[in-house]
Formats: sequence, structure tokens, C-alpha cells
Amino acid sequence: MKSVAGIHLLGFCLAVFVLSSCNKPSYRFTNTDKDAKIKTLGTVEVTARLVEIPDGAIFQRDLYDYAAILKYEVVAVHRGTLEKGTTIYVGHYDPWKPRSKAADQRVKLMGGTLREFRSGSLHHMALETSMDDHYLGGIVDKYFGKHTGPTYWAVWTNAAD
Amino acid sequence: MKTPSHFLITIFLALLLSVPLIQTATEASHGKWPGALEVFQYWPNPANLHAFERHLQDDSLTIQTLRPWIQATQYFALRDAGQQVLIGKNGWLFYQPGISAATQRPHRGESTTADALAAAIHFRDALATRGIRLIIMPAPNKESIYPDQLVSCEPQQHILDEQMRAFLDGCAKANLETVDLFSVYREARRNSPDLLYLKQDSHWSPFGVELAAQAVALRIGASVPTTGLYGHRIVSLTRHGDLVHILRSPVIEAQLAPESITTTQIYRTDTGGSYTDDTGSDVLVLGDSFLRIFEQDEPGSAGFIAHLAQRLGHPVASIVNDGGASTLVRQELSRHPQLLAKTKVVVWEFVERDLRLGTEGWQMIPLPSSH
Repeated sequence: MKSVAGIHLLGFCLAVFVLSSCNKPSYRFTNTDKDAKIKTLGTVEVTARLVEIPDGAIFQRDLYDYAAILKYEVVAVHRGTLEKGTTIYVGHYDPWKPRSKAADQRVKLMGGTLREFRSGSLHHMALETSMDDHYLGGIVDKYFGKHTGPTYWAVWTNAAD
Repeated sequence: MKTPSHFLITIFLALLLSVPLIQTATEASHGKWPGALEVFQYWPNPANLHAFERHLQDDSLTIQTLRPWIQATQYFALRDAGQQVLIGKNGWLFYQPGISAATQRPHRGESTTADALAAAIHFRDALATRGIRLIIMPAPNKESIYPDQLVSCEPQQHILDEQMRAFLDGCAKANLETVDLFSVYREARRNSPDLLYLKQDSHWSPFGVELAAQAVALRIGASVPTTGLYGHRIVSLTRHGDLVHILRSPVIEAQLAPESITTTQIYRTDTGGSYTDDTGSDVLVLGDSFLRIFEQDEPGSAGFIAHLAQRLGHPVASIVNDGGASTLVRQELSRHPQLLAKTKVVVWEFVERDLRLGTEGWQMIPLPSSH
């Protein structure tokens, strides 16, 4: 693995001239506000910080799909009645996959630019509530029995760091 | 003497450099920054570096192009299907983690038979306080019923591994009601040529489904009346099993013929519509993907749940949670208290390998409030 990374870095150095002749790149973590889907899908739209990723909440599961419940602190509310600073719990479908590759036959409406869940990162999300109304399937909930109130269902998740 | 070695070194270096050069040029042609730059985006801790390496692999054009062909070569020439699948005889495929769970010592963090037994007793006792009866049905691993399709042994050989034997013994001692499909299937293999499991899938066949439903209906027995509410019709289908899909190789999938399956779909005789659950039923079925196959998957209403309903003569309620029958399905029950309002019998199915590998282990989950 390390050699692969090294090769890629070396390749990058050798190919700088290729880049210099290209149009301005559309960097994949650029302004998410230009994404129309984040503004139209779901009933709630927030920017929130992922508080933590509990041990075992996200893992690659080849045979079955699942959703994991993750804990967020709301940083900004764009749509809906949530308040800034609120702690919310959000279900993400097959969280080990990039959001752009998570949709499938079971959950057709799912996407976003987020590549990977990292503790402390900011996510711009379009959410539905409650999760039970939008998802039937395996749920890994490390907060089971530890919180009340609705669990939101993430329809679209963009990186917002 | 130098020329050949220089030539080989040059070829070798060109091969090495071609991978990142192709990648960088491709990304540039799509107007993207090189993925290699991502290493500078996050603090270089172990988690971020692992993620970076994983992204390099996932995005690598070379890997994406070559992997399916290498996989196919390994599969067909070397009979190596990778880490998740074992190739058996006569087109049979087996789920490697299930075999590992039965043949290897427990790994750190895996559940034990004692955990499963304790959770089952806790669940039985909690249900009993509400006058609800619990019936437990472990679904055998495919390799427990068909070891002869994986290794050389007698065709009628049947495996009951140490953990499952200990679990069933523990259930007997604790007066937990169980349906022993291991015995049912052993008997069926002696008396019928019909397959109990699908060759390309980790789950049971339509015949295995019918025998399981029959065994559970018999166990529920006289406490539930039967009526002529349901009829059945034959539905044939062809499909690749989950053990083919898990390989994620279009090349292999294209080369393997899909499996032909004849299912029996259950329908209501009064409306002609396919079987559907009734959330107010007195029988609640909990389980994993063994309940999902043919029921929620194609052709629908031809799985264990519909067949059990047919044998009972009335609809049942169900919670199906792929790979989550050990704990997740009871957590889901806890979130849906209305499902227990009229329940008299709970049937709890889980696959044998979940004794060790059940997602979230075997937690004690309280029943939802009855109010």
C-alpha cells in the first residue's frame, strides 16, 4: 500500500506540467452550496459537525446493507425548525461507501459529495424525519436507548469543511 | 551485458510509473486535482493515511480496469474466489466467514454461545411476563448441511459444530423452545433429491423454506387455528446468488450461468393478491435475510414468512433485518411496540454463524413499553 502511495506521489510530480495546461479544476470539496439537490431534497437542511464515530458503527459489510446512526451538533440551519447547537442523531445508509456510491435498489434516493465519515468533520445535509418512515432495514445504533426524539435520515450529504 | 539489464530496468520503471501517470493524466483530463494530493488535506494520523490509501485504490483506473480480469483468472483458473467466498464442488459456493466461524477459534470481540444463550433466556423471560411464547429457530449454515459439496466426505454427512451443539443443549436445559432444522434437513437429505440450499447463494432454497415453515407451524401447533385463506402458485426465476454478487466482478458474473429456481408464491384466495403481513397478528416473526429471500426479494411472498402464514391459515407480522437477527432485530422491535400488542407467539430465526458473528453481538434488549 505504501509503495502505491509513493508511486502516485511520484507520478504527481512528473505530471505537474500536464496540470498546468488544463482548465481550472473542479476540486471535489469545493462549495457545496452550488449543489441543487441539497437544497431541494428532504425537509430539513443543516450544516452539522460529526461529533464522533463510535467504535464499530461504520464497517465494511459485503453481504448485507445497513444504516448507522451518527451523532451531530448542528452548526447552521438552512431549512427546517432545528436550532443551532442542537444535538441530532442521523442515520446514514451503508456509511462505509462514498455517498455518491451508496444508492442502490433498496435506497434509491441517496447521494452527496462526502467521501468518508471522519470524526469532527462538517457535513452539509438534506434530512428527512423520521428515519423509520424512510428506511426499512438493518440499523446499527450505538446510541440505542441513550437518546430520545427523532432520528433523522440523511438523503444527501456533502462535505462542508 | 549492461544493455539487457538496462532495458529490463527501464521496462520495470516504466511499468511502475505508468500507473500514477495514467491516473494523474486521467484525473487532469476530467478537470480534477490528482487524488494523490488528498494526503495533504488531512492531518497524517493513521486513520487518515489508511483512508488516503483506500481512496487511491478505489479511484485507481488501473485497478478498476484490471481487477475484474485478474479476479476472473483467479476464479476460473485457480478456483480462488477471494476472501469472502469459497468455491465448492459442482458449482456450489460457500460463504467464507461462516466456515471460519465454525472451524476457527473465536477472534477478539466475537460473541460466544453463552452470550447468545443469555440473550435468548432474557428475551424468553421478558416475553413470558406478557404471556408471549418464544420459539427459536437457528437456520443452519449452508456448509453444515452440505459439507460434502465443499470437502470430501459422505454425501449424507452433516455437521453440527461445537458451538451450535452447545447452544441447542443450553436451550434444552433452559427450557427454551427450539426448532431443530439441523435434524429436519438431515432427514430431508436422506429422503429427497431436492436441494435445501441454493448453489450460488448463502441462503436456503424454496424447498428448505417450505420445510422450515412446516416445522415451525407444527411447533406452534394447535394453539393457532388454520383456515383456507391462502393458495399457492409456482413462479420460476433465474438469478445469480448473493455469493456471486459479493465478488463484484462483472466478468465472473457474465461467465457464470444464473441459477434456475422454482418458488411457490402464496396468495390470498379471496382477493387473488400476493400474501402480505398483518401487523396486528398474534404471531410475530423476527429474523434475518433468511426471511427476506423470496419474500421481499423476487418473486415476493414466496419466502418463509408467507409459507408460515399459509400453514397457520392467517397472516403473521414480521421484522426482517439482514444480518441483524442477534440484536438489531430486537432493537427494531423495541422501536415498534405496537407489534407486540396482540402477539401470542414470537418466532425468532437467526443464522448459525451469528452465534459468533452476529452484528452488535447478543445484547440484552428490553421489550418496548406495553402502553
